[in-house]
Amino acid sequence: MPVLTAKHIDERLKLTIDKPGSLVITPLLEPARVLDNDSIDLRLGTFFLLPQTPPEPFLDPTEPRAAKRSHMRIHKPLGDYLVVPAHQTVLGATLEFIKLPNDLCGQILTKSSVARTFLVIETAPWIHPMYRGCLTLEIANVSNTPILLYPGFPIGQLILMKLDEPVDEKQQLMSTYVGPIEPEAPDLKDPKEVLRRIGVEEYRDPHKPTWQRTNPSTE
Amino acid sequence: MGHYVAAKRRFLAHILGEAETSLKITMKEKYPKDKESFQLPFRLAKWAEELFCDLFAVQLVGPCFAFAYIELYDQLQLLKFDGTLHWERLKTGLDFYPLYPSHPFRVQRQAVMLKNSGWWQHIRTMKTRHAGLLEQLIDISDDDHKDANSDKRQQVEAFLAIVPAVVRFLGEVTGNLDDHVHEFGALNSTILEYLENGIVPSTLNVRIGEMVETGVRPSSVTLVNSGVSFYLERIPTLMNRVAGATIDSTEDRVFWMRKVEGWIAKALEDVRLRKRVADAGTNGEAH
Repeated sequence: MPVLTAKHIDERLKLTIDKPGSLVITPLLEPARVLDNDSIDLRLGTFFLLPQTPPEPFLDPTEPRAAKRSHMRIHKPLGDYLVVPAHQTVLGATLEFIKLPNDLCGQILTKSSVARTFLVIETAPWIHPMYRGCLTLEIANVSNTPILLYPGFPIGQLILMKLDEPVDEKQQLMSTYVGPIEPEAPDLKDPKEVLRRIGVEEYRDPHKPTWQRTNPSTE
Repeated sequence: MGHYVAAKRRFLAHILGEAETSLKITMKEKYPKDKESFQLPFRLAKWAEELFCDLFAVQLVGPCFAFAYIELYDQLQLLKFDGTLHWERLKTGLDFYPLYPSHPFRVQRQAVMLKNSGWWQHIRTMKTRHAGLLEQLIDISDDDHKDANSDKRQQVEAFLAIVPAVVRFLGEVTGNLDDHVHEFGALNSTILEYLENGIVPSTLNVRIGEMVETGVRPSSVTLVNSGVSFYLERIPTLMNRVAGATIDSTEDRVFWMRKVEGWIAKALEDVRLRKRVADAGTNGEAH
């Protein structure tokens, strides 16, 4: 799976969006600085989701509003900063909006200078072909010291790779998280449905004393 | 913002004299000589200030203001299902408020201004009831406004006589302000294409015949007007491209409207960001 070089990234950025290989990264500020030989630096955006302690002592995926209730949305304009306490996490997003074509996938990595402060920006780094949106960053301060995050600061680098063959164009706008422009809370799946599909008949509901049927109609 | 400009340019002081003269000409011997002689010109001046603010907004941001006004004040109720004016509703709606002209009057004046601008060629091709309402309201006569305000007929008549003075004042304030119509005409179809594909339209690659112009940056005015045009006409087209989206579902439509709103908001933020980079004098954006 060849990695795209700066020359090929630049060529694709210049295609109109009706062309199959077109790539969009916007706004690409200071291109001379951010476009490296084999990667593009991405900046930290201005919106964040701060984890909140849920009413229950756990994050319950069977509760439809659990994911939304577990975060508080805040905006930090350019020039301001956000403090990430030691051993704490926060969801952020890239400032750049990205649209991948159907023959490229990507991976976002923590910039080495950032990583050396023991800040990890991504634990689900893979970006599928046809993805569009700002990338949600699962930022974790794994150091013993609070760290300041400045929106607009280069925080990650995007590596683009060519697929063996393009995926079907019809797949566009089918992803779970469509065109996000700021970090989005997880779209938690009800475990009952997922477990039922793989033949599990009973599961534990944290709010009920007894085991529950994954398919209530079989009770 | 219009009120801020009006205050800064001393609009009320300017128009009060015009209002008083107009009232004296219209009312003749009925012009009050007691304390009402101050209140009546002031009322006209307040109506004029509202009109000035509306027209200032249209001049500044284009037809998106008129469309937003129609939505905010639920003015589509003035159209029947066949797209013609609902005269019964219109007649009751034409009544002026103590401090504001009627909503149909305000929309009408925005429509008249747009008709005299380059925006009209784009509005006429829009397949939306909002554009239809603008076209229909242009035909309401001054007599319709006067007849609907029988209790203050002479005040409305005097007010209509000072409308040209308001427009002149607006011209002095805005001067040679770029209305961005030309840019909108050149970029709108590309912006709509970006939105239909779920892409934030802050940096465009635009086809011009066989050529492609890369890294085009639309202005805020063009972005907002294209966004509103997309919202009014193309949400179903976008939803048709999304697996599982149901056009008849209110919840789905609201979800996608908010998405489009978000993409335009992001593009506007990018415009501001680029301005900062340009002001900082660094090598801005090449793409």
